[in-house]
Amino acid sequence: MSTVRSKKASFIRSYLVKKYDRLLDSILVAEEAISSSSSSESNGDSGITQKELIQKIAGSLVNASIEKFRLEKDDIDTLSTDYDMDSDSSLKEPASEVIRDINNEVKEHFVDLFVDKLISRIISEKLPEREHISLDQHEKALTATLLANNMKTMTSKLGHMMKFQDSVIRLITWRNPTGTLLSLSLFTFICYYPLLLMILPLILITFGIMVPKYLEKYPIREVYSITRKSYGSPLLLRLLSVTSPDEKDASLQRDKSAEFRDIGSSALVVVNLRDFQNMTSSLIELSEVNAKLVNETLGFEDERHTTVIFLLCIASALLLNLTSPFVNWSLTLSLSTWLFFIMHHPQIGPRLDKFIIKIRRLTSNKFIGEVIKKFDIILDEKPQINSVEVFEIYRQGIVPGVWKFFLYSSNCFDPSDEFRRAKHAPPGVKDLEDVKPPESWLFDPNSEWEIDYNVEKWSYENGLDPVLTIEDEYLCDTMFKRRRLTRRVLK
Amino acid sequence: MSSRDVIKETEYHARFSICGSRDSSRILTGDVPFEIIKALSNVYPILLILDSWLDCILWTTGDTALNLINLLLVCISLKFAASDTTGSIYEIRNLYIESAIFFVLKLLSFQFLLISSIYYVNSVQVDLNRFESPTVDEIVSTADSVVNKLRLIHSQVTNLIKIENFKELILFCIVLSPLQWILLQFVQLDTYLIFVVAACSLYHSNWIQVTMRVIWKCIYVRMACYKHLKRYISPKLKNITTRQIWKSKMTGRDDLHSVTLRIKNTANINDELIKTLLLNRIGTGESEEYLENVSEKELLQVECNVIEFEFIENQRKWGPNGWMPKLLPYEGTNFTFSSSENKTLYRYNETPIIFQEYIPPNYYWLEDDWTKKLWKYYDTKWSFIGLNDSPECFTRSREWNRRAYSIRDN
Repeated sequence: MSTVRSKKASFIRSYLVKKYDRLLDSILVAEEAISSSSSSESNGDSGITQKELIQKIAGSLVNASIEKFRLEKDDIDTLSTDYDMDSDSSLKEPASEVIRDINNEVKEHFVDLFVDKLISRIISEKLPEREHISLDQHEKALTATLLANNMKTMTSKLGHMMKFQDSVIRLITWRNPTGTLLSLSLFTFICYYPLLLMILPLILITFGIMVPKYLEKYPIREVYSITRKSYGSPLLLRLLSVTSPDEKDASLQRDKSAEFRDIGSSALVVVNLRDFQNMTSSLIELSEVNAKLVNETLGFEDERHTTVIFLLCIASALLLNLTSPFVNWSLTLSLSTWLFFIMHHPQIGPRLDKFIIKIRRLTSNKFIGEVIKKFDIILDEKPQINSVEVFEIYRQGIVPGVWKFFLYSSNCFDPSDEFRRAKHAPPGVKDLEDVKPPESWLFDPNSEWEIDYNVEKWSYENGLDPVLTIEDEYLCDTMFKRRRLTRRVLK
Repeated sequence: MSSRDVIKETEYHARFSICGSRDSSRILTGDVPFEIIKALSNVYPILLILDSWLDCILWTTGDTALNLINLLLVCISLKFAASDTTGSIYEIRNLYIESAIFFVLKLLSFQFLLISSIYYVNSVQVDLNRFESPTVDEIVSTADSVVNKLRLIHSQVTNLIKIENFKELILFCIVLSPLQWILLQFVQLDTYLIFVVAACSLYHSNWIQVTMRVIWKCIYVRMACYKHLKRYISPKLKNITTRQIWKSKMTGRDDLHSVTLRIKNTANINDELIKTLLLNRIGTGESEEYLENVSEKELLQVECNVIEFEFIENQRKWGPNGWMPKLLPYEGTNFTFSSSENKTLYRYNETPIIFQEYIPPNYYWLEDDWTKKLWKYYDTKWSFIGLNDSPECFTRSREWNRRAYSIRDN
């Protein structure tokens, strides 16, 4: 009996599912059609009106909820049909439990679905693609879930990178003095035997990565000495220790390392997040500095400055080219690096700075009062010259033949004009004084607005309807007449 | 779901034992005579210095960079000590700056090493005075660590000169000396010296140790090494062919068991009967029970020769492929033939499956198939581990036995 009933139930269910599917499909199709038509209408306009935005949000909300419903329904269907096959009442409970589990774990969150839909709705046009090595590769669409997941994994994986950064900083700042010395010696070796540069990556891979991994798997060294107080200290470490000038910093450093060892996994996530935040902000800073360098310092913003830099670069390149055969580069490079690092040693650096300041004070007295006038660079580059146009538009008065001034506009406002067809006034101003030159250009002060009398030519060049009549310098249609004003602009 | 949780909760893991092999410190915690304590405390600074020096040699210090810098300084000062061409052959473009710098560097590094070692000895003394005096335990554990490190070096040195035969050692030296002389013709003395010192002091670093271990995994390296050392490690086995085995078995006296069967002449004498009778006879020793009621006249005497063959199957574990018949080239073949006559093993290039096909015409196999014994498991050098496979085992072997018989014509 029970099997017959269950069969019946499953049949009804499948019928209903099919029926609702059709309904859902029709809703989706209709919704899609509306959105596509609205987007094609608004294509001419760059922005999205508020009405459209609301429409789109609503559309994606409906879409997301339908999809969510469908996903859930599919799972319940498959599971319940599986369950139908062996309709044993004892299996009922675990099956429903499983369904609930899956719904909780596997399903995408509704908000995620909604946001994804919304993104794809609002930015309906095709996004530009980045270059890929393989042509078959395509950019993945922006989804909130993937982005969030990536952020999550990135923050958890960031530790290694940060550790590497820490070790590099420790090397640079002499906080690991023997390491710094060793790297300097290595650099010297590279300077003298550049072939090492080819060998070094291999050495790094084998000894830096593979040997520690091997030791992790097969530890070869017994621990001989039980931890005890360490007596005595090598002279080198005593000489290079960073502690004395700013003892506080060093102790702070030690505290930090202690904290890292004791930290729990949950706190580690926060630490990684913090690191990520700081990394992104420093990345932004870096790009800002880079932009400033490219656009201002090297971008002829301050023309004299950039010109000097350009000349200096060329001159030093030439000089280097000529003198380089007579220079012992190995010695120069290694010695300068050693000197640089020694000068930045925490014990030597501050003293050196003080010394330099003292010397400056001594020498600067001599040059006081001497104003260095910079007459070495001649800035006589011809500016860019261009001309701008504006249309002075008149409107037909009530009495024929009487025209009233309408406005100045860059739009010609002929009968085929978009604004004219939409029965809107074109963007423009009432006063000629309010017409401004294009961005970063300026009007030639030695020129005035000039009327273009060659109407035929400009109307032809602007692709205007040749039927329009010409009266003096005006081009007329039934409602409006306009004339073209031009002016020189400089940059 | 819940049952799995319960299992997780009841899972209990054993702890590593902390009792090491070293318990000498415990011996001294009892009553220790004052003189010994005094002697220990006097010797403590020396122990400490020796310990740190051994740490440097064995690379057990935490600061490997410091070790490397020290090595670099040693090498530079060696260069200073060994070279006599300082600054004479530099090019003009260097304007002698480079040579001057290097000269100063060499001089300084030697002096720095000297001063640094004196400083270290001094700093140990200063620290000992500064800290509270060490306990007996500390002193003993330091001594223990020194002894352990020395023991390690000792074992390695003896390993290096493992050639037990004195003649071999002399031969080794005689071969190496001209090689060294030739090398010195091409390489400058200081470079050679620096290379030797660097190689010796880097030997115990993790890098070299791991590199050696990884290189040792390469089959060609092992072959190259064993080509020379093979005779010290395992006796070279002779090859034997199927024909030789048969020949030796049929002519050898020890192997040939002659068994006399007495069969009722009315009985239907066939292979099966002889086989069962032989098996019974060899197995139990008393096969003629059921012939008691039969008179001597009715009996037919059948004399048989029985030969026993013993092969040993060898296998090696090849990582993820598991147990494979392929052995290392110097290890011999998959099957070795064990001769009972002179108790020696021979390399056999075929398998017993092929061997059984080449049975001479008048011989028959007594058993239907080879009887295979249990596997015995060995480590990679074929020393016995046990009867069960474990991660420790890399080779295994088992015996294959089978007997053949022939009826002697009378």
